[in-house]
Amino acid sequence: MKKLLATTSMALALTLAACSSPASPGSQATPGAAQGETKKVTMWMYPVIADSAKSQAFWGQAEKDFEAANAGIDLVIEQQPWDNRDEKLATAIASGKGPDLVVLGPDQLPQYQASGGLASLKKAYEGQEDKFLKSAVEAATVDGDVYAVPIYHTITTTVYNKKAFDAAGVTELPTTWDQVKAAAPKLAAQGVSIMDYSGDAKMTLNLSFYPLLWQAGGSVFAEDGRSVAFNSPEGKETLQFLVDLQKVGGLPADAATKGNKVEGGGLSTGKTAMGYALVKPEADIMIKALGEDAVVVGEPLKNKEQVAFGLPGLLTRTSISKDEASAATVAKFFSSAEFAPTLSKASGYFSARQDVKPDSADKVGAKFAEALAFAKAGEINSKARQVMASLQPHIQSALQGAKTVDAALADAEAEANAVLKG
Amino acid sequence: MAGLLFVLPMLVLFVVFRFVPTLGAFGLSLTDYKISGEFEFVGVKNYADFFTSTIARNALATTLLYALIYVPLILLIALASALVLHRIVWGSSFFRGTLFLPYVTSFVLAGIIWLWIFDLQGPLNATLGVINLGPVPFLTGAQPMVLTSLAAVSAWRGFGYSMLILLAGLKSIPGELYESARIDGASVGRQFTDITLPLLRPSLFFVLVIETIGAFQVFDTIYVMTGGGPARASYSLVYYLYDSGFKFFNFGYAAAIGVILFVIVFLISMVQRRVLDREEP
Repeated sequence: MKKLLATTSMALALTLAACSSPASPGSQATPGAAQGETKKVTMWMYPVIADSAKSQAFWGQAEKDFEAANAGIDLVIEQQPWDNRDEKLATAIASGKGPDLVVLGPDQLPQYQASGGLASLKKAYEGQEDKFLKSAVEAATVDGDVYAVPIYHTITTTVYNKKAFDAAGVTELPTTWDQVKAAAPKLAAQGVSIMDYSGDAKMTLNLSFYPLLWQAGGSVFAEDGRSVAFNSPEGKETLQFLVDLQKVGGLPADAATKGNKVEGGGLSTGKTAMGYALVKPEADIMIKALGEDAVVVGEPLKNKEQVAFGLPGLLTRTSISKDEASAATVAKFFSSAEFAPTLSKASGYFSARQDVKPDSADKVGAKFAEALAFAKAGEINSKARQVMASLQPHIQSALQGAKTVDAALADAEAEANAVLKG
Repeated sequence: MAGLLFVLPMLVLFVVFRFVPTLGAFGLSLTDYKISGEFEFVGVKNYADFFTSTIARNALATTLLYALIYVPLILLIALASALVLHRIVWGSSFFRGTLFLPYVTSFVLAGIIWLWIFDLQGPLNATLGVINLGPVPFLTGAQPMVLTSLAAVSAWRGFGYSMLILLAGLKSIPGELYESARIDGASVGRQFTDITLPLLRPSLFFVLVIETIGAFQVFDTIYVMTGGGPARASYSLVYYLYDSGFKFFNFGYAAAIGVILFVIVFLISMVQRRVLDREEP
């Protein structure tokens, strides 16, 4: 009973928040305030720089640099963990104590926009309208209004453990689905699964099923976004590809439920020969574990299409912020051509600007940068996450052999369409 | 008047932090609430959506199945432990403390250790392998297996609390009753069924109610160990509430699930009260 009441207490907190004044402490700036008054902007940053100490130092310095260049704004960068980010952010916005700016992904942004949690950030593009990757700006735009500016861009691509392929007598690294299927039994005979797949219920499908679906020429949503389109020949081909690989030992035995941790996982212990949706820091872990000679960074896998998931980090203005001008000044600074290379170097990610080129000295990074040409930032829909949650368990069922491919996708389609209509 | 003043502080706390939030949750369940603070009155739509949702029905069935496994399991373990501790004379404080330890242990930490224990390559499967059994997919197999594994972990964590309550109940049973029974030639089994169980009924009823409520509110074990999977095999009602509220921002719908859960638990508690807490004829 206590726990139940605690749960309902949260509900009251939300109700009280609804009744509270719309003014927020997160935004100290008052429109029309006297000139010379310092305006406070709070920004939530996540561990895009994986090393905690380096991250603290980097953003601490960034805060000082910004304030030195913008005397009228008191910037507070609060570092947050990735874990439970939506719970914290949603609660913070609902209670009026959230940040003015926060980094969101393309699948989060429309959901927060639909829930009234965002405000326009169009001013951040003044003077730099055409400087960013078009796909990144599209990801920041909902119904014609832009709510964020991209400050970095991740990209995934295929990374191979060449030694595992050599040991199985596969001399040419597979770059297409057909080649993966052909090589899978040879590696399985050596006790190695050719490809990694992470079906964990907590995983985003953007890093597991969707890239393969896009490579097959399919899409998650119909063009109007009101129904799903994954129960298609392309969707069936994708799931069949995974099921067939599973049957011949081409995927890890626990592919239906495992997470995507590279450190200590099959990709770094030699039990799995390739990952098709890895980011650069994960390739670095493989290199550290297997040696530089063993790891090859390739292009995104190809079937009908050659596509890779790449995620722009969107510095987004929340509805807490009442001062667009100050928020835009901060957003401009962190998305500038001057700041982008510094962040790229520290994080291992890439700039979302077209006028910033990757560091040519970093060979692994350069291979990842090439994959940016194939980047797809997910499919934008305010219910993208709910649809993902509908599809995920049915993929697990198919991989565990509890459902056929047709039944799994048909069930998922019915469930997801009900979500979209609701 | 003096009595009312005496209980007033507690009454105020109860109303402010328990009763009003419950009413607030009910109010919220009748709205479409946005995180910006805007809301729209939608009547009973959230409740209608719940009763027509396949996912909701499955989550309810999963929760019921979990409760059916968990409640007898924890009752059995708690009662057995209490009976053993009641008989131990030397070192009973040490054993009582040791058995209570999991209850006060960080479950996030313990959950990670249990994940390793249940892993296909973990120590449990390695032990089973010695006798040519397994590997058993404790957390990745069919629903009964997954829920039983989760119930076992929850029972391991929670039985210490119920054990202490039952132990207190056992200690309150007068020793003369057992002495008389022994003189009359009653066996140990007969003493248990005719003295211990009837006189332990109030404690058993309390434990049964709190553990049933605990079973219906299961969340952290599932969150840490399976994330509701595989294929929604462990997708409980509270996990559904959590997803609806914090993942999908359907706060009104999440509040409706909370209210429905409240009603279910309340009804089950009433039934248990009628069946178990009735006066002897």
